[in-house]
Amino acid sequence: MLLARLDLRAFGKFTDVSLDLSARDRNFHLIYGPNEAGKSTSLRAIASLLFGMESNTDDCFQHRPTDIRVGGVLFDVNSGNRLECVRRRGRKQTLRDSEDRDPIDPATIGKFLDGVNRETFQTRFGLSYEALVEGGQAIVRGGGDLGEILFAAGAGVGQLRKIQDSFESNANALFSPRATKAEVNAALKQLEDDRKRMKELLVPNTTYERLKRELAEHQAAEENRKERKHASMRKLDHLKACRKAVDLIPSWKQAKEQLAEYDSVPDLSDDFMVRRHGLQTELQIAKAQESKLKEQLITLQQRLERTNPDDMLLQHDLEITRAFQILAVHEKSEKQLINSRREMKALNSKVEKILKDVTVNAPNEWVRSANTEDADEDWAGGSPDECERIRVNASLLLHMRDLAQQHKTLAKRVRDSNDLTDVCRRKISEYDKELAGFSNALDPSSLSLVLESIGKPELHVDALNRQREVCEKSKRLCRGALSELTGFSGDLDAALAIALPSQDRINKMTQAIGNSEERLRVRMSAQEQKSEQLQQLLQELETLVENKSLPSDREVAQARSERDEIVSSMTTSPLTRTIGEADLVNKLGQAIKKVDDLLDQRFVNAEQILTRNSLERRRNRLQSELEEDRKKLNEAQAAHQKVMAEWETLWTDLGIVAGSGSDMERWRDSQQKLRLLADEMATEERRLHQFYADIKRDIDRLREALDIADDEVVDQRESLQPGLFDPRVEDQFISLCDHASEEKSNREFRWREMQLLRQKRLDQVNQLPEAEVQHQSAMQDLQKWGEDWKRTGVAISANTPFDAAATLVWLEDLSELNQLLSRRDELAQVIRDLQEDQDSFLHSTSKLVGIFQNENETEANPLVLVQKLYQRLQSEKELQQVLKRCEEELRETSAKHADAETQLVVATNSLKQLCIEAGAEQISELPELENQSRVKKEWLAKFETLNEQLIQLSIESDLDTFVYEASSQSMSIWDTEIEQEELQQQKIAMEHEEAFRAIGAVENELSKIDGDAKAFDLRQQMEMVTGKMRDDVELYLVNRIGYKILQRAIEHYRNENQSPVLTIAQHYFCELTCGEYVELRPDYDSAGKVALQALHRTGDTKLVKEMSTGTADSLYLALRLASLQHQMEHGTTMPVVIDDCLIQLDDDRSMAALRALSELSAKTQVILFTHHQHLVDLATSGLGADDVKVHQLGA
Amino acid sequence: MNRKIIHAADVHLDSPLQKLSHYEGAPAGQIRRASRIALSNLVDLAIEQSVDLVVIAGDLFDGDWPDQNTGLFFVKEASRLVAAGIPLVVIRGNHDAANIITRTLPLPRNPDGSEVMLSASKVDSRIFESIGIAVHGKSFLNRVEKENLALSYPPALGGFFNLGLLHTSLGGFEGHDPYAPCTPRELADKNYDYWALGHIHQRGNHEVDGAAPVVYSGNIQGRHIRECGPKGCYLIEVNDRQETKMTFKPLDVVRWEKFSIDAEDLSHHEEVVDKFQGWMSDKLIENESRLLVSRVEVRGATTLNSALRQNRESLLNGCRSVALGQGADQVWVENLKIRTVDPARENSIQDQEGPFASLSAVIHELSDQGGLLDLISDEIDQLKKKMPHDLFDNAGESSLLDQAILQDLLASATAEIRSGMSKAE
Repeated sequence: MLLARLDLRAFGKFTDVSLDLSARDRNFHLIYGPNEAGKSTSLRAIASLLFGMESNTDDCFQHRPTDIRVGGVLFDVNSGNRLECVRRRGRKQTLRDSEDRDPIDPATIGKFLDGVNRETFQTRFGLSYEALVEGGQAIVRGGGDLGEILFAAGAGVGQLRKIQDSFESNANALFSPRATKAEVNAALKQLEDDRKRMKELLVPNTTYERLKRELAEHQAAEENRKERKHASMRKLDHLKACRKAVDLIPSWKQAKEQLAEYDSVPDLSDDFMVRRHGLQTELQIAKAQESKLKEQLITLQQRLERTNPDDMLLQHDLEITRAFQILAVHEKSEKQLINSRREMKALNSKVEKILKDVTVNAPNEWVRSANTEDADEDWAGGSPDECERIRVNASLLLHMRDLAQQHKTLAKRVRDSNDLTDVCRRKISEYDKELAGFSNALDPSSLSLVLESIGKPELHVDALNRQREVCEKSKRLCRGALSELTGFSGDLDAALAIALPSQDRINKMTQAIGNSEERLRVRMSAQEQKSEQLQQLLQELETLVENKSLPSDREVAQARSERDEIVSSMTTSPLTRTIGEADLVNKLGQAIKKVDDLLDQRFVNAEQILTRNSLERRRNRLQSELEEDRKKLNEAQAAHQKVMAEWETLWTDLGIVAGSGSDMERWRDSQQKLRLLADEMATEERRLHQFYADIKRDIDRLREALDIADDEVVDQRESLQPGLFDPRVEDQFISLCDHASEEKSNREFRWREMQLLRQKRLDQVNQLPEAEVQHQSAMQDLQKWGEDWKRTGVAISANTPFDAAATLVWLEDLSELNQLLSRRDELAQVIRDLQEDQDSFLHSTSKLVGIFQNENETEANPLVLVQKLYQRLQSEKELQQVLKRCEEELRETSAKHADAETQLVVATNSLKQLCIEAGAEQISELPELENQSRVKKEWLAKFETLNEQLIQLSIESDLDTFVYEASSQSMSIWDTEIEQEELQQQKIAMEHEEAFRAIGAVENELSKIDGDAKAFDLRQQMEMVTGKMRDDVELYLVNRIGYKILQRAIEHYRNENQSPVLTIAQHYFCELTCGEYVELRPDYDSAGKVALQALHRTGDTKLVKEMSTGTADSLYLALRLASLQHQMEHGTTMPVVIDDCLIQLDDDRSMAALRALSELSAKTQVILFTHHQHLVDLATSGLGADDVKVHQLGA
Repeated sequence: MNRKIIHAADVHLDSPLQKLSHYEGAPAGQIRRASRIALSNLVDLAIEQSVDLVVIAGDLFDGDWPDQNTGLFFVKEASRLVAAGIPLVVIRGNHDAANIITRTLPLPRNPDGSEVMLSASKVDSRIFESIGIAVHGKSFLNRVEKENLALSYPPALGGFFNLGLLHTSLGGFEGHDPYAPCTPRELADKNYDYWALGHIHQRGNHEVDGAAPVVYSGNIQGRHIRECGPKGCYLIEVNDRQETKMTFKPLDVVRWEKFSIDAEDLSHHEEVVDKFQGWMSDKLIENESRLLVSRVEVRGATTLNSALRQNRESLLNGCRSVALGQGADQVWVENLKIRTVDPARENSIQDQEGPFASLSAVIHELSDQGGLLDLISDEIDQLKKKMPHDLFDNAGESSLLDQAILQDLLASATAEIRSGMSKAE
C-alpha cells in the first residue's frame, strides 16, 4: 500500500490542506516545515488515517473533536486498488467515504494495510532521529552481535537489547537459583519459615497421644510418690519418737522403780487427811454435848415431880364442857316449845273450820266419819286415825284430780288425732287427683344430656362457617394457583395428575434450547450485520452508477461487435459497398468513435470502474457469504425448531403449552405450590365434612331426644342434602336447638311440679299411719283413763263415777285440808321433840352435878353448878398444860442426849475405820501413813505422765517393744537416722516439685490443644504464598521463554537474511559514509559470536564497538534501509516515514543519505519530514526533479 | 411422623482455599477458617431447623493434615449438636480413612448412647427407634477402597426409614478417584429410602427412575476455582409414608465463581474490566453476604489477543480495583486468565516477513510440548529443586507442565516480544 494523497481536512492547525503523494519514478517526498509548522501533526495524521485516531490526540485544539477529519487516497501496488476515505475521531465507524457521509467497513482498509497495525507501522516502517541514535548506540553496546544488529534493524527495534534485558531482569527479579531476594526465592524462604512455624503450631496425633500418656504417667508416678512420702513421714515420726523417748525412758524407769518401792504403802484418797481431821473434831464436840444434856435431864425430872393436877375433874372434861355448852340451847328450846304450842292451837281451829266445809260437799261416808270423830284437847281436827284416813283418801283424790286433768288432755288428743287422720286422707285424695293431670309429663334428662353434649349451637355453626370460609379460601388459592399454570387448560385434578419430567431432563433441554437460541441469535446477528453491509455496498454501487453512468464491459463489447460487423460487411458485400460505401464508412466511423468514446470514458474513469469492480466483488462475496450464513441460519433455525419441537412435545404430551425454560421452571414451582394447596384444600374439606357430619349427628340426636316423628326426620334429612354450603343446615340446627331448649325448660318445669306433688302425697301417705296410730293410742289412753277413773272413784266412793269437773273443785278444798293436817302433824312432832330434849338435859345435868357436889354446897340449881364446874375445869386444864410442856422438854433433851452419844460412837467408829483403811493399828499412826501415800502418788503421777508420753510416741507399736527399740540406740544414732530420713523427704519433695512442674507443663500443653486454628490459619497463609509464588513462577517462565525464543528468533533471522541484507547494507553504508567504508562482513569474535566488522577503504577492519557514534548511526541507518529494501523485495510495500533523522549528519553524509532514500523510493514510498531548510536545499540541488518531491507546510 | 435429616459430605475440615494469591486490599479476613465456619453453619442449621438426624458421608478431614486441633474443633461442633439432642452419624472416606487424628479424638456419644463414627470393619446399622430411622454405613478402612462396599449393605429394615451412607464414586467421575465403585441400580436394589453419598464434590441426584434418591450433597465449602457455585447440604424432609423432599441449603462462606468472557464480544481490551464490573454487581446480589472469589477468563480468537496478554496485569489490577471499590470488601479477584488466541494470521505480514517471520518460525517449532520443554528444561530443573513438587508432578490444571499451561505461557511470552518489538521508536 502506498499513500497517494494526504488530506488534512480539519486536523491540528490544518484546515483543508492536501498533500499530493502520488508516485513518479521515485516516490520520495520531502515534507518541509519549520518549527510549529505542523510537521509532527502531519506525521500523526498519516497514522491516524490508516489506523484511526487515538483517543488522547492533541490535535483538537483548533477544531472541535467531532469535526476532526483526516483523509487521503490509498493505493494497493499489487492489486491496483485505490481507496479514498476520511477518518474521524471515535471508536466505531470512524472510517468514512470520501464525502464523509457513509461509514466504510474497517476490513476495506485492512486489505490495504495487510495486517500491519499501528505499532508495526511505526516501528518497521518509521524511522526517527531518536531511533537512529538508539539503534546506533545499541549496535555499539551490543558488541556488534550480527544477529542482534540485523534483527533490530529488520524489526526497527532500536531497543532490542532492552527487550532482552527486560526479560532477563524480570526473570531474575522473580527467580534465580542462588538469589535470596527474588520474589519466588523470598516466597520459598517464607514458606520454609512458615513450615518451621507450622511444625511448632501443628499438634500431631502422636504429640497429643504422648502428652496424654505423659500426663497419665506423671500422675501415676505422683501417686507413687505420695505413698512414699507418707511412708517416709511415718518413719520420720517414728524416728523422732524414738529420739524423744530416749530422753524420757530413764525418768520413766526411775518412776517405775520408786513405785515398786512404795508398793506396800496404801493408796490413800486425797481427802483422807481432811476426813481424819474432821472426825477427830466431831468426837470432841460430841463428848461436850453429851455431858451438858445429861445435866438438863436431871433438872427437868425434878420439875415434873412437883406438878399434880385433878384427874377426876379432867376425866369429866367432856361432860362438863357439853353441859356448859347446852345451857344456852336449853334456854332457846324452852322458848321454842312455848311458841309451837301456840301455833298448834291456831292450826287446830283452822282445820276444824275446813273440815266443816269439806264435809258439806263430801260424800256421805266422809261426813259420817267426820261427825263421829272425838275431839281432843290438843287436837280439834279429829282423831289421829281420822286424820290418817283423810290423808289416804286425799292421795286418792289427788290421783283423781290428776285423772280429771288428764281427761281434758286425752279428749283433746283424741280429737286432734282424729282430725289429723282425716286431713291426711283428704290430702292424699286431692294429690291423687292432681297427679292424674301430670300423666303425660316427660323426663327432661335425656334431652338435657343431648343439649349439654352439643353445647352452644352457635359455636358449631360459627366453626362450620369458618371452615367453609377456609375451604373457600383454599379453593380460591387452588384456582389462583391453577390459573398460574399458564398454558394449561385442564382442571385441578388433571393438573395434579401431571407427572412432570425430571429436573435433570428439563435442565438438559433448557440448556439445549439456550444453546440453540444463542447460536440462532449469533447467526441472525451476523446475517443482519452482513445484510446491512450488503445494503450499504449496494447503495454505494447505486450511487456510483447514478453519479456517472459508465459503459459496462458488455456495452463496450457490443460497440466493438457493431464496429466489427460493419467492417465485416464492408469486406464481404461488394454490392453494399458500391451502393452505400459512403454510408458504411460513416457508420464505421461512428461505430469506431462509439467504441473509442466508450473506451475513453472508461479510461478517464478507470478509478471509478476499479472502485465499482471492487464494490461488486465485495457485493458478490457478501452475497455468497450471506447465502452461506442463510443456510447456516436455516440449519440453526431447524435445529432450534427441532429442540423447541421436542421441548413442546415434552409439555404438550402432558397437556401443557410449553413456554420458556424459566416459564416451565415457574410452572413446575406453580404445580408444586398447587399440590401443596390442593393437599391443604383436601384437608380443609375433610374438616368441613367432619363439622357438617357433627352437626347432622347432633340434629339426629336432638330429633331422637325430642321424639320427632320419622317422616319428619326424613323430610328434614332430605332438606339437608343440597350440599355442604347450604345455610339451611345451620338454620335447622339452630331452630332445632332452640326448640329443644324450650322443650327442655317445659319438661323440666312439669317434671319438677309432678315430683313435688308426688313428694307431698308420699309425705301424706307416710304421715297417715302415724296419725292413725296416734288416734288409736289416744282412744286407748282415754279408755284406760275411763277405767282408772272408775276404779279411783270406786275406791273413794261407791257412788262413783261422778262428774270430773265438780270433783276437781271439791278436791281443791280437800287438798288444802290435807296441807293443814300435814303441818299439824309436823308441829305436834316438834313439840314432842322439844319436850323430850328438856327432860333429857335436866336429867343428865342433875347426875353430873351430883358427882362433884360437896356437902357444903348450898346452891341447888344444877344450871349454876354446871357453870362453876366448868370454871374449875378450866384451871385444872392450865396445870395440865404446864405438866405436858415439861414432859415434852424432857423427851427432847433425852433424845438430844441419845444423839450426842450416838455421834460420839460414830466418830469413834469412823476413826477406827480410817485406821483400817490406812492399815494402821492406832489413830496416831495415820499422819505418817498419809505422808507416805502422798509421796507414792507423786511418783505414780510422774510415771503415768511419762508412760503416756511414751505410749503416744510409740504410736501403734507395743510400748515395751518401743521402749526396747528406743533404748537400743543412742541419741546420736537416732539423730543421724532422722537426718537421713529428712533428706529422703526433701528428695521426695524435690521430686514432687519437679513432677508438679512437669504435670503443669503437660497440662499447659494439653490446654493449648483446644481446637484452635492457628496452624490452619498458617496453612491458609502458606497456600496464599504458594498461590502468589505459582503466579510468579509462571511469570518467570514467561520471561525466560520470551528471552529464549527471542534469542532463537534472532539467530533464525540471521541465518535466513544475513547475506542479502548485508549486501544491500554494505552498499548503503559505503554511500552513507561517502566511501569511507567499503565492505561489511561477519566474523567471529573472541566469545565465539558472529560479530559485524567494517572494512575501511584503507584496508583496516573495524569492529562495530570501535566505531564512532556517527559511523554507528550510519551503519544502523544502512542496515535499516537494507532491511526495508530486502523485505519489500519479498513482501509488503508500505510507505517509509522518516522523521528528521539526518540532522546530525554533515552535508556530504546528508546528501548521501538523501540519495539513499531516493534510491529506496524507487521500490517503495519514502516520506521524509524535516524542519531543516538545508536538507531541502540539498535535495533540490543534489537530486533530480523526479528523484524527490518537496512539499512545504505552513507556507 | 414427619422427620428432618441433614445430609452433608466432604467437609474437608481445615482444608485451605487454594491458589489464592494475596494482593493489596484483598479481603483476607473473610476467607479465614472458611471450612470451619461452614461446619458451624451446618450445626447452626441443624439446631435452627430442629432436625432429627445429621449424617456426614465421609471426608470429614483431610488425610494429609495432621493437626489434632482440627479434630478437636470437630469434637466441639459435634458436642454442640449432641447437646441439642440431635444424633450424628459419620463415615470415614478416602481422605480421613488414613487420618490418624480421629484415633484419639474424644468424640461425644449420641443422645441414645451410640457412637458417632460408623465402623470400618463391617457395615454398621444405627437404629434410631424414637424417630424410626435406620442408618446403614461403612467407613473406609484404607485410603484406597476398590471393593464394591454397597454389596455388603444389609437389606432395608421394615418399618423404618432406611438411609444408606456411602462414600463412593459410583461409576466414576472426572477428576475424582474411583473408590468403592457401584451403580445406582445396585443401590436401588437395596430398597432403601435414601442414599446419602459422599466423595463427589458436585451435588446431584443419580437415582434410578422409580427408586429412592441417590444423592451427592457435594462439599460444604468450595476450595478452589474448580469447585464453583453454591456449596452446602441437603435438608431432607421425610413424611410418614417415608417419602422424601430434598431442599438444598447453602453453608459456604466463600463462594467461587468463574466469569468467562468471549473475546469476540470485546472491541477493546479494557472492556474486560467493564464486563467484570457488571457481572460482579449481579453476583453480589446473588451471593448475599458471602465472599465472592472470582476468576476472570477471556477466551476465543481475537485481534486483541496481544493487547489482552500484554495488559493482563493492568486488567487484573483493574478488576481488583473494581472489586475493592464496589465489592464492599466482599469480592476477591483470584486471577485473570487470558486464554485467547490470535485470529488466523496468514494474511498478516507481521508474521511472514523479516524478524517477525523468524519469530513465528521459532514459535511454530515450539508449539509441541517437547520443544517448549526442551527450551526451558534448565529453568524447570532449577525450579524443581526449589519448588513444591505438586507444581510439576500432578496432572491437571495445577501442574505447570500441563500442555495447555505451557502453551499459554508461550503465548504470553510471544505477546510480550511482539509488544516490545512494536513499541514506537
